Amino acid sequence: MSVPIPMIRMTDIRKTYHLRRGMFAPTEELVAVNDLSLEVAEGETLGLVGESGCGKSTAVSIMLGLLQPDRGEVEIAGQKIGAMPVADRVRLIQPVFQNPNASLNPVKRIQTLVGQPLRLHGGTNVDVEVKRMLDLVGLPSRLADAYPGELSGGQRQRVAIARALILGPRVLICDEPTSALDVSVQAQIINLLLSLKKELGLTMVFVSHNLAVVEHLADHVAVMYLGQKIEEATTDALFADACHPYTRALLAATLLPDPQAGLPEQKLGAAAADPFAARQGCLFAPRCPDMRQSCVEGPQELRKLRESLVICERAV
Amino acid sequence: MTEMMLDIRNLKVSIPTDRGMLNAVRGVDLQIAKGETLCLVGESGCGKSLTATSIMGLLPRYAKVTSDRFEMAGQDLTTKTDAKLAKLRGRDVAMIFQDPTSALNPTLTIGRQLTEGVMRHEKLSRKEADARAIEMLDRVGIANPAARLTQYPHGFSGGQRQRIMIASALMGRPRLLIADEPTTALDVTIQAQILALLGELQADLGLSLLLITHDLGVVAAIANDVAVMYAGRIAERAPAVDLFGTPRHPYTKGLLAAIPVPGVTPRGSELPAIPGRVPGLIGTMQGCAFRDRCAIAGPECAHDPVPRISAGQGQFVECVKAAEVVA
Repeated sequence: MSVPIPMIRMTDIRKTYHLRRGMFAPTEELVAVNDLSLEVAEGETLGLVGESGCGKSTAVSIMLGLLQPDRGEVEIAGQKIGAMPVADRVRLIQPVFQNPNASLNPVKRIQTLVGQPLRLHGGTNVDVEVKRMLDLVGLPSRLADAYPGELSGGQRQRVAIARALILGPRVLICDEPTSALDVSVQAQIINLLLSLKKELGLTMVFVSHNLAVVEHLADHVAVMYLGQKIEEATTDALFADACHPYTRALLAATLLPDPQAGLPEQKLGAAAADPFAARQGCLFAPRCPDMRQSCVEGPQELRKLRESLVICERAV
Repeated sequence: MTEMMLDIRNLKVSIPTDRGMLNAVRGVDLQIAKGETLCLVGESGCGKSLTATSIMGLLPRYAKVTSDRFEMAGQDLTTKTDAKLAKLRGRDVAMIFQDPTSALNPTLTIGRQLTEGVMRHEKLSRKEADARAIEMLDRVGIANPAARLTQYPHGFSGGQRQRIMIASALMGRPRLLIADEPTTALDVTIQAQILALLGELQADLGLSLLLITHDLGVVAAIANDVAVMYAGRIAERAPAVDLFGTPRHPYTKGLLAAIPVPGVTPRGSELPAIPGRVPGLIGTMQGCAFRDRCAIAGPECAHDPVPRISAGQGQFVECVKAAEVVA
């Protein structure tokens, strides 16, 4: 029996930045992503969650081939992305970013914006294709002549999605696509992504800090903390029975529209994650309610625990 | 009767634009009792921030503000001179903004920024002001506050900066604290901490708290009372338990239904989104502003004025068909 090739495979990706924390300070190494391995099967949706600065966006840029990792490989549909010509890459994998106000050029018409990737990559029948795309994302074709400024936030995000899909990619990377939107519009865009996934058989990576949205969209979820994958499980398993204390804290901190629920009890200390801290032992230890001496000593490895892949040695 | 901290009737804020008058706030009634937490919820552009800004008196000069009543702690603000207003507001009311990074001046030390207000309003000496700043920083959970007064904002994390903003708002010992999206720029684990801190301070100091947010999760976590704003008016006001349990305005009901709830909403199911978009606010409006997006709208919804159905204790809904929503 042959094992199907995963649509996305990242193996041992590491990416560091060299930064100064002040004008005259020495440069320091910031490990944005460390030994990150991810696999997403065709037609699946991976939810990538974590706090700001946890390396989600760096991981996504590497996945898209926009950033070179220090080491490690990214394969999309079995082909190494580093060795792939841009023209092939853009027909395979496309991004949708958080803020459509920033990602759409305000002085270009919708027609031009959506058609641009196709025109650049030598497509024909651009106008017909643009019309088909607008239709696909639920925008009336009369908006083709409008400018981004005339559209609402939700409509602009639809334009960004149409533009990402016009080259017919098989993978869509959505980096916080709904966090700049209002609640009533957020539901519209989630519905659109769900129907596109079904209709086009898209493989998706959905990056978000909103766990309720991730739970709704993703088949499995990877949780990142300071550049490291600390837990990965199917969505069902993660929400029913999270193993890592950080995942549990994240789940507990998700506020539900239920006044009986009250404020979650905070067990994390007031300290924030420090990306410059020494990478020894468990990175979450300084904030962990369950920390023991052994946590800060030995190296931490991902291991299988029940349904999850988890990095915490004390999780039971 | 409970004492009112803030009593505003028929507040209107209009801003002239080159496309005509933008009527952003169209007759808002807002009452906050002493020691109460009121959440003002709504989508971007519904006028919630302008309502708050008008309470602070921070609107630009060209904004046209009118109201039938504008009282703070029993004092009528509409008849006061600017100098008197500045004094009143400087003492009684303080505001926390969404993004602590842009609200703090990066070139001044935390100490300077915290003490500036009280040195001016209360004529405190440097020493007294510093002592107050240390007390407040300690109150909001900043470790080793005396040493940190001389540091600059960049030395603090996002969550700490928001704590500093809160400390700064508390410096004048206000009676009303307005928090405009205080946790939107923060991570979820930090968000819960900041909300807990606000709730704690409110209880300890007997503050009235006006919290502005678009996040119904935040509302559920800390509000006693909720006002839902849509297109410049308050569509519904009710105690949090009632609002989440039996929403009476179709907009409130739609908003609540549109949020996926883990374990309740079936995964991958189509969410009941509210169709369409928020109406433009230029010019006048006839009838109910929500009717174009409303599933149960009828011809009577186009009539002015939209009736306000009260249910006692300040609870009300502005919808002709409110009975149908609950049924």
